[in-house]
Amino acid sequence: MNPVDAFPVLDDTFAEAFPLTAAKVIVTADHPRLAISAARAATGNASSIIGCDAEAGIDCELEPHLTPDGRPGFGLLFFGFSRPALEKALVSRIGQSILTCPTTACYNGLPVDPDKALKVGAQLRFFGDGWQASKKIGNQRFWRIPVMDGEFLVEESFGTTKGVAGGNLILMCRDAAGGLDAAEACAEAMRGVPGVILPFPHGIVRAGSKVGSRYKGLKASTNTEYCPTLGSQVSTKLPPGTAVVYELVADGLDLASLEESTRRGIKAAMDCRSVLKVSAGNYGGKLGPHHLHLRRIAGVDSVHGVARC
Amino acid sequence: MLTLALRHRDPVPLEAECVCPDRLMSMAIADIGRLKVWHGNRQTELAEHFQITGDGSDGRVRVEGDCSRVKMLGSGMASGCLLIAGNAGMHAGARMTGGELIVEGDAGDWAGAEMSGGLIRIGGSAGNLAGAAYRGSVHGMKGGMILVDGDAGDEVGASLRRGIIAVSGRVGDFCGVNAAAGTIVVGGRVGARAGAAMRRATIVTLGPTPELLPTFHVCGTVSPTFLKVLGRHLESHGFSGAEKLRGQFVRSCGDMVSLGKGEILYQAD
Repeated sequence: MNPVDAFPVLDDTFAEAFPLTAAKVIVTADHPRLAISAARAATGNASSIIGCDAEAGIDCELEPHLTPDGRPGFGLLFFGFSRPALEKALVSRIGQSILTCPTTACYNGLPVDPDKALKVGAQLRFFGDGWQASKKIGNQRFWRIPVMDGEFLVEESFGTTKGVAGGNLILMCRDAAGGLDAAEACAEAMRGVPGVILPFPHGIVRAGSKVGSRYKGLKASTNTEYCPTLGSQVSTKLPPGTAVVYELVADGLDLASLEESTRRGIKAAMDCRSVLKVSAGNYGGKLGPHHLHLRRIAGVDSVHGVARC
Repeated sequence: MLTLALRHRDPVPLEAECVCPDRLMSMAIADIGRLKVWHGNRQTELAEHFQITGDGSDGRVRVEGDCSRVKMLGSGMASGCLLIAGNAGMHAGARMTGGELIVEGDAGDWAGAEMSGGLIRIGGSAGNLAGAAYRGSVHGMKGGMILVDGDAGDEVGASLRRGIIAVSGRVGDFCGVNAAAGTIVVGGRVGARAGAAMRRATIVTLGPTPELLPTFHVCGTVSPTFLKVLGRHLESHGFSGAEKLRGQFVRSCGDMVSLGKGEILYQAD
């Protein structure tokens, strides 16, 4: 192996991100194990807006002194195409996955603009069948809904912001085990930025998709150009010797967070021996207004940017 | 800051509803001094009773002297901060909609009556009918918060509609009578007939087990999450004893002579 080939290549391309409506939900419970169960359930099946009602993930763990009720909790981020769509998703997910979990409560985590607020507790309260009660504490209105272990507390309105979704990195790796290690390290680095989630399971995507399919009715299908097993049958974007490809997809509350997450992800990936090439997915600039140019974000201007990344 | 120093301790009551930060902030001192106030049955000018100095354009007013015979201080205020460095007479902060009223001493009856917003902090004790409805009104306090470091008299939160009243000490009889909603927290003993005819409100007592009306029914022991949120809110305002709101409470529902969706929460043994 040529010595220079031992270093990963940082592709001269960009990840194409697009705006989505974002909300932050704080879930608390008597015990962290209950809070994390509710958090995982509420953010489950929320990997891609293409096939799910929202993209969601766990943003951070919250110590008791950081939550509204002084109990352990988690901050969750949800992203949707529009406020009505996100409101519907939140009502459904909180109603099915948080309300039902023992001892939990649910709070808004963003500033509330009354004109752009999502009415979440205001809809969930009807589960109380007339026995719900509201409490206004400070400027926030809460709903107390009687349930079998006491009552579920949920905030009436949830704030929204214009988030940025679709940040991504594609790691092309020379071996399966090393590739997975690299992807895990990359995911860990990326999700370390507050306000950023990686909505796919474990933060890693192995089934990258392309738009469309040969089959009618399918909006997306496997991204053949990145499938190592098809390397000799279709046009490929993989460098020789690629054994596995993993994609890291990230959504952020703002562009700056997403760029910082991308920067950390690139650095983590470039430090991994298994990585042959780091690239990103885009649609030629036609999908979203935010272009996260990998080399600009990493602060390098050459192919092998590991030393300065 | 504008400072009003009381010139006398006349037992004849003075009605000084004009002393509101938001009303005074855009006025010159001479104009403020010419504001009309009732002194008994005689209409007088404010300057006859207060020495006025400073500048109220920052929305801050300080009233000095024993104003226990000065009524309606800060009544109807909507913004700014009114500090009464002593006692305040009746109706302090009544019908206020915003801003902050601080009474370092005691406040007379009807403090915060029918208020709908803002914060009243009373360093001493409050009289009767704090946050209550005036006779003939349907609703009392409709929003905001009243914090009392000392005790409070009878009929605290009578016909309460919304908002929070927190009393560190004890309260008199008929606390929360006829309350439609809202929350009353009492750190000490609660007098007789608490919550009589209440419909939906919450009375939380952190002191001795209250004597409940027979029309209240015990509904188990609970640790309501909203009390934890309320506790943190009160702690952020320096209310002593708020940490007790994280504990276990016996929930007693009533008043069954009315809608019956109110509750009195008292500490479980």
